Amino acid sequence: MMHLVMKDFYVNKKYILIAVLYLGFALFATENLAPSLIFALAISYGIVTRSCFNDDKDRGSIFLRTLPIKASTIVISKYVLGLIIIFMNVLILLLFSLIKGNGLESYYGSISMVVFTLSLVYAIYLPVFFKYGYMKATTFQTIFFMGIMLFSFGFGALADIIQSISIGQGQWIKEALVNFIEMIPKNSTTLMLITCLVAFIILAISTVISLKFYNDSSA
Amino acid sequence: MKDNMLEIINLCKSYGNFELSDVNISLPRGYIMGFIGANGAGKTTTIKLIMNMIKKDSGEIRVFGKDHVKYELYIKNKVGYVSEQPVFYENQTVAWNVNFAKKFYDEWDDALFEDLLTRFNIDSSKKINQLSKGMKMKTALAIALSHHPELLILDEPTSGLDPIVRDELLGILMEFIQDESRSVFFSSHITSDIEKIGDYVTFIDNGRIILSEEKDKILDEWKIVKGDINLMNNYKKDLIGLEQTRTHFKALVKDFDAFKAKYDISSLVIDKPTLDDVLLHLTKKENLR
Repeated sequence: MMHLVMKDFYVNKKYILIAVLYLGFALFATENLAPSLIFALAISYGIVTRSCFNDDKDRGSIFLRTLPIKASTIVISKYVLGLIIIFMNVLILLLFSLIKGNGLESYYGSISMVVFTLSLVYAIYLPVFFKYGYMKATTFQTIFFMGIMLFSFGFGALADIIQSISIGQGQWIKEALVNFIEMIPKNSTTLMLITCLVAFIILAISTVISLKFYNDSSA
Repeated sequence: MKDNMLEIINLCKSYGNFELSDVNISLPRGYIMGFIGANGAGKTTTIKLIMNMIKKDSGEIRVFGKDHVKYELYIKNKVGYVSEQPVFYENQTVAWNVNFAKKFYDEWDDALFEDLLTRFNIDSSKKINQLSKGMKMKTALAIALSHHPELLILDEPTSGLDPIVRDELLGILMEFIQDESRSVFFSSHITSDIEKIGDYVTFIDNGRIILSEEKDKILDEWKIVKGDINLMNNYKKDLIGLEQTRTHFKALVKDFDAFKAKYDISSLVIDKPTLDDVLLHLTKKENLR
């Protein structure tokens, strides 16, 4: 398993080096975390997709199938790669908190965001990759996220609609939304732990789907 | 009872319009089997099924007497596989690919691999995409041989190689089976290669096995007969893959001793067939149901 993960890190070595150099610079030179966070997310997505690209491009995935490796090991190794990258992102955030001298708790929101976003990205990307290959998976992911962005523009309009609903009319929608918001824990530690748990459940479900797709696919 | 290294029983697989149906093959220990067929006949599909790279619809595949799915890791540890287009991580060096692959084998032999690199004149610091097709094939073969496989499965290994490299490769396969404990399953549409080194020959056409037999038996017992077109009807029932011109006919005869006993052959011209002749006559449409 670890040979496969190490191989994926090796084929991404230039990419990772650039990321480390940038984050090292950002760590000391900037106060604002947001640009570095977005950069780290982009690089994290890129590392997994590039490892898939390398497997797909030169028929490396066929090479793997000729070796004595279990199908489940090949599939799970990609998720392990994703988890290691998520863990590295969390470590970088902790390092930020230490160097900047801010309290750790102020980074819980960022940690939750990083863990959840990357888990969701990997959970959607990898099954499509194991079913259809790199090109289709990347196209699908791009369309999917563009769709989400377009959909998110509609949130403002949705809020306006809810605001304009007069009392009595559609009261249940308001109540349901308020109840949902009240269910979200206010404690940032609990919120972070719940977010991580949900993210890992999503990844686990995605792994099962990828295994099914990989076993059914042809080399 | 023969110790079969590879046994395929009633194997079926369909892909859109193509169907591999009721494939049966047995390869005993210590022999080379040539798997012959035209492009698209089903050779690569059969090999990918053996290697569990695609899922079968039905049938059984046993390698070393073990189910190829249940014992996949055990089998892949003891099988050396080379495909027509050898697959590697192309942007990496030979050394990197080998260092990566060898970690998965239980019996990898570094000394043997180094010997093979020297013998094949392969520079391990070169990137795979800088190698010629022949060098890639030799690299794939060096990897396939360096974990002491008992069975080599080669999919069109000589296709597209120049005659010198082809001959060298066939020599390596002959060496491989010298101790009679190992076998080779070798697909090709170049019948002359199989004629040189094969012990058994299996012909596949349009997804069906049309003949699986000892090579010498085919070449000794089968004959090409040629004669005057006016005499053709006398023999027609026993002729396979009949070719006719306005004046003459040409066909394959399966059991020539029986044919000779049954008919007056004094006016016929008898030739020893090549495997190419056998393939061409057997795959003529009128022979296929």
